Amino acid sequence: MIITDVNKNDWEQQANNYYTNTGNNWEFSQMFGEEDDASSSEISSESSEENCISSLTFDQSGRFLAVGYNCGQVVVLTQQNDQTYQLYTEFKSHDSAFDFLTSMEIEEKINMIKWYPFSNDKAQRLMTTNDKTVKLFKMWEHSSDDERTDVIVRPWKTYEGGHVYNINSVSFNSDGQLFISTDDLRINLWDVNTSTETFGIVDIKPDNMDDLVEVITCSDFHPQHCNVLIYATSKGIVRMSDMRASAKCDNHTKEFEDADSELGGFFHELVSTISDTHFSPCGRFLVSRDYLTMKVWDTRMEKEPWKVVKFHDHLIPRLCDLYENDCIFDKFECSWSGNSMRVLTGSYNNNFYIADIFGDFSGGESTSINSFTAARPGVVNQYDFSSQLDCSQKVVHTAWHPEEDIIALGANDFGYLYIRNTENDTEEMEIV
Amino acid sequence: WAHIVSIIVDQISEMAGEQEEVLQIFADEMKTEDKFLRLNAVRNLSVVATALGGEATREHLLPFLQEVLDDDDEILLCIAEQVSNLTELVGSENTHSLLPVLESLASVEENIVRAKAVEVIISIFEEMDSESVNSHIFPLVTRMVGAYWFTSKKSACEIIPPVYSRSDNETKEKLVEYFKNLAEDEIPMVRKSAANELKNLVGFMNKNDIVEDLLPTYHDLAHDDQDSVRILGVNNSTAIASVVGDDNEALITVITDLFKDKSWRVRYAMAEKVDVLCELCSPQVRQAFVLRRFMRLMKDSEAEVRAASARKISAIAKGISVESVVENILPIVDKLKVDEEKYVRSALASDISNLAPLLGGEICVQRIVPLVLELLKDEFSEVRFNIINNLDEITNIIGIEELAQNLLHAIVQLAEDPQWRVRIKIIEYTPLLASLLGETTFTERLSALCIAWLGDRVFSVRQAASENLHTITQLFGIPWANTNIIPKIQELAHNSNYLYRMTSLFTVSTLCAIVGPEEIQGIMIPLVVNMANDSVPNIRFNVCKTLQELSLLVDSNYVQNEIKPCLTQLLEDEDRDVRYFASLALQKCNQ
Repeated sequence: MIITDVNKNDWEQQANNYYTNTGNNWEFSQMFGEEDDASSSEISSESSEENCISSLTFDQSGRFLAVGYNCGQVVVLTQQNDQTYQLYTEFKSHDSAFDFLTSMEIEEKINMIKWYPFSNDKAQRLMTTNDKTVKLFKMWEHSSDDERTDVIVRPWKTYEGGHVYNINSVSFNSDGQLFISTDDLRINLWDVNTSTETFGIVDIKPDNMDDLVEVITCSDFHPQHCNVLIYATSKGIVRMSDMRASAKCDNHTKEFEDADSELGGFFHELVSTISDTHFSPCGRFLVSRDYLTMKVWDTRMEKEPWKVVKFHDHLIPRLCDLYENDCIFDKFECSWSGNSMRVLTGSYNNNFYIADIFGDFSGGESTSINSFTAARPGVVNQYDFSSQLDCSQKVVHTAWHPEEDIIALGANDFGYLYIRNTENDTEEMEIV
Repeated sequence: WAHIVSIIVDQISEMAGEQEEVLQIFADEMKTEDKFLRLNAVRNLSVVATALGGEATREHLLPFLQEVLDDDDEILLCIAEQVSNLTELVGSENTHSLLPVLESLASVEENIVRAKAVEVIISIFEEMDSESVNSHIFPLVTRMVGAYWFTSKKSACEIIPPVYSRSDNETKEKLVEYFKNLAEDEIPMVRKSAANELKNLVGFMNKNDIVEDLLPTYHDLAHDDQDSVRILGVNNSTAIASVVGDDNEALITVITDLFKDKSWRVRYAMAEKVDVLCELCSPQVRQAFVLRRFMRLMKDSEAEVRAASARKISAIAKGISVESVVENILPIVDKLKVDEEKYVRSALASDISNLAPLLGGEICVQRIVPLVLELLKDEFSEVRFNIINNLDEITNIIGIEELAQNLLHAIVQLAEDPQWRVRIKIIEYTPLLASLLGETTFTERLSALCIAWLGDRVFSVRQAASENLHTITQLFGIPWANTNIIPKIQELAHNSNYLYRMTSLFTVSTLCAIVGPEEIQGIMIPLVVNMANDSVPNIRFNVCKTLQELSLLVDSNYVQNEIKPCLTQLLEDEDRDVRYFASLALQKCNQ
């Protein structure tokens, strides 16, 4: 869905119609990662560090959901007719390695998974990355003689040696040929077919490392325009670059920074670091998630964000504690709905928020955002935040089905799938 | 495993005639878990096919292959290669039976496999008779064009041009229709394939058809959203221009747009092809159109584009008048020579000298020489090297005197550069410089430098310096070497640092190949023999090695009287390596 020239008011109105006609209520659908759950894989349900989910991604059709783990394992689930997901296959993507030059261990944790956008019916490709190496796997079904169908996963390309610092994201270009991999200070442009060369397009490393003040936290290619990409930094800035304008994209075309940020003080920089940023599927907007808020920007206006969703204000009084237990450094992800109408993000106490992102957030308590708790039905009720804040239970990883209202959440070593309740929907909404 | 595989192959060859069993063996091999065994089975496809004979191959083996395409890319590639060997076996009137397997292979995602399958299809097609083409190839193309998966469509783009060349008018029309649809496909990679193949299709079409049918498609592809599609418009432009000429408005519009494209990569591609374009145009169009665009590229905001155009300056200059060069190009060149990006200056330096022969002596002195002199002082060594590389173009026109002073200064600077790779490079250029400067100037100003290099801190530089002396001696002759080099080598042999004494030994080795017997006997060997008493064992065993080489260049008497005694003495040396090399050398001497 390519939006070229939509009047903002029209869009807002359309969005609000949508919100009125479709409720924002979400119900538990299934859980995975638990021993007695039918869809679980061989990963044990013991809550150990290595079984923690580290990334979650749906493919372009929503038919597959890939889950990456700290231990380097990737589990692929596939959608059934009843909208639940069953285990399709699993494989070890990365092994831990030892970097002899720095005497440091390279973790096998999967930082990000992305599905190749142009996949055959018969075979899919998915890209996984750990801190240093990007890999592209091919996955296909093989029916052997005796009517059995196996799912085979083979490593197809390995892109290594491109990064000195730790990779935080990968993103495919809409041309089906290029992709970028991003680490703390650099963004590299690769051709899918060539693993021996890469081109550095963004480099924010200062000549003197003592002058380092800013690192890159994530990046994303525009879903339709092959030349536009964004990257977000620890200073709370999102920069947009046009690869057509020049070979090196260090000089950004646009810069989105919310100068109005009220907090100030010691914690200001820590909470304004952006943990996740994405273009909306329609390509017209982008969302940035920092510790306390989500901000939606109209890509045509850099002056100020269009919407600022404050949903973590209850954490402000506790910032000291959160700093001491390191939770202030948690990197929460966010996800757009397939129709670019809503945004999902996670929080503590296994809570997650779904915002009608183009609704009204000007007042104090907004009705445009709902919160839910990721848990088996009947297990737990919603917490009152003023009393207990459980920082060990957090929904860090999120994903939204590209075409349906199904969301996937990763909370430590458990994954949850929630579906929107459509009982009270009044009409079929077509987003133009 | 190889042993097992060869048994199977033998079995099969002996079983010609027992078709079912042969097929069964092959089928079993293709089911094994071990990829290596499957790969080997495929590699022996011709053996299997020969055993089966043409008919059984067509009716059983080929259909069977269709079922095992769910495999590793390496195996699929092998299948494609092997199938191409089966044309004779199935019979030239039956080559169409090979097509189904290839059609499937042409739809896989791995580009290498897909491209190979397409290649084989085209080679089969080229040998086919017209009737088979109509009944098999055209339907194949139709299927590929209408396929669901974009990979088949990519292959279709590649097959259409050669098929077009052999089709009747009605079929040609349909193929162009197909091609146009592919060029408008919603998947960018299909459009990219179409853009890539357009130039090939153009090669088979006549002018009218191109103008009527293909220009609109060419225009659309050159204005596609995707950079990767537009960039191919550059090559399509030159292909079309060579048929249609330079006065077609639609063509000029597209080329103008490509020159101004928003993406620097497209402008870069235009800069790389601007000379080809220039040649295809008449002088008026060159002056009025191509030159103007080229001038803009030289001033482009992106350094890569400026560098690419800097490399084409002389190529463009060839196509326009001298006055035009002076008026239009040289002013921009003056700006490029101080460009802030060193790669732009370097690109300029690699081409600028080529302007000299085009402009003639007077203009050369007035405009080019100052440029060259300035670039010779550039802080980036690549710039200086690129100038030195092409100096002969200038000296051919105006002689060396104008440049000599600055040139020598530049050489000395490079020779003292802190980076050893730069020092090596200038040493490698020295023979060229020697021939340019002539013996007198060279001896006066640079021969001392050549000797000094023998004393460089870095071994590779010392080694390059030795070899350099060899080349210079070849250039200037033995008497010159006698006067200028050999005395210095003798001095070096007494240096207090053993590394420099070693260097003198090496230099003796390299020089001996070209100096005369008087020098060898009178100077070189005595020098070497003298070092047999050196305190450092490395020197002593290198003496053995050197003497071994030298013994081949003198008569046997000399060997007996001068070389052997020295070696025999070293046979008793306290160091083991010295004794070893001494005995080795003596063995060679005795042969």
